[in-house]
Amino acid sequence: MNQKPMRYILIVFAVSGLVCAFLRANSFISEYNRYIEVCSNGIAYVPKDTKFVKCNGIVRKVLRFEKAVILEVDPCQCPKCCDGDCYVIVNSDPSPESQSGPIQNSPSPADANFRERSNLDVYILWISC
Amino acid sequence: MVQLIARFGLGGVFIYASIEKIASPWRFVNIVINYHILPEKLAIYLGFLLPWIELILGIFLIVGIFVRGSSMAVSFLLVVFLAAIVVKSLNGTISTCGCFSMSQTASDHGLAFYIGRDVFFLSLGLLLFFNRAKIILSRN
Repeated sequence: MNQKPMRYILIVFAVSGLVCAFLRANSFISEYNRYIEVCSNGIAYVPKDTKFVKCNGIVRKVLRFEKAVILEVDPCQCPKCCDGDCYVIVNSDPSPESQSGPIQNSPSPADANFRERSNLDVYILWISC
Repeated sequence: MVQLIARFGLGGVFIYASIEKIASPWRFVNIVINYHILPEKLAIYLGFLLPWIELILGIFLIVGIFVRGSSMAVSFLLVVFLAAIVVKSLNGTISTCGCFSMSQTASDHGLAFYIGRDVFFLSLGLLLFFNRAKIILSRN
């Protein structure tokens, strides 16, 4: 195969790969300080759509939320790690089926916020490690 | 023949090392930050860019283009990796090298293993660089 077109293809690939990595690094930096610390400061509130959290300052990928029914002693609680996963106990918004009916009186934003926070459920948050 | 083996060996190692890092860059970023050598922001940029640089250099070595430049860059990177491992080991233990696997439990090797491995790869890189330089000089 002629090496010249191959060279150009590889140079384009290299440049686009580096540009893509640079852009991803930029967006990661802008998000980095906003990640929620879940392994210290008590039980943290983590919204359901969270993709990354911090555990002792280290960024971890959110794998899944599980409703905490019975809390047993489990060897997989962070910082221990089982096959790349560990869990922490967090608060999050209740799932739609466990939510109570619509709010009857239209409350002030502060009331709504309090109501929202006081209705939080306890979840097991599985994160990568 | 030796050059071909060195090119494919070193290129393959760099491509293999880059794949998991590109797939989950935030894991590699954590490892780079935990080296505590660079400021956090710079470590994040390095964590995202380094795997791509490794992949590109590996491909260049295997395909056989820019071999002299690539082998020089690979040798430079290996010297940097060696220095980073030594600095980290002086500050404490190496819990995760971040060389190939991103798993926390992946590395139960000692410092001597990491240094020996990097020195071996560095010797391949230098062999390629000086062989290529010799060929270019003999052409002129």
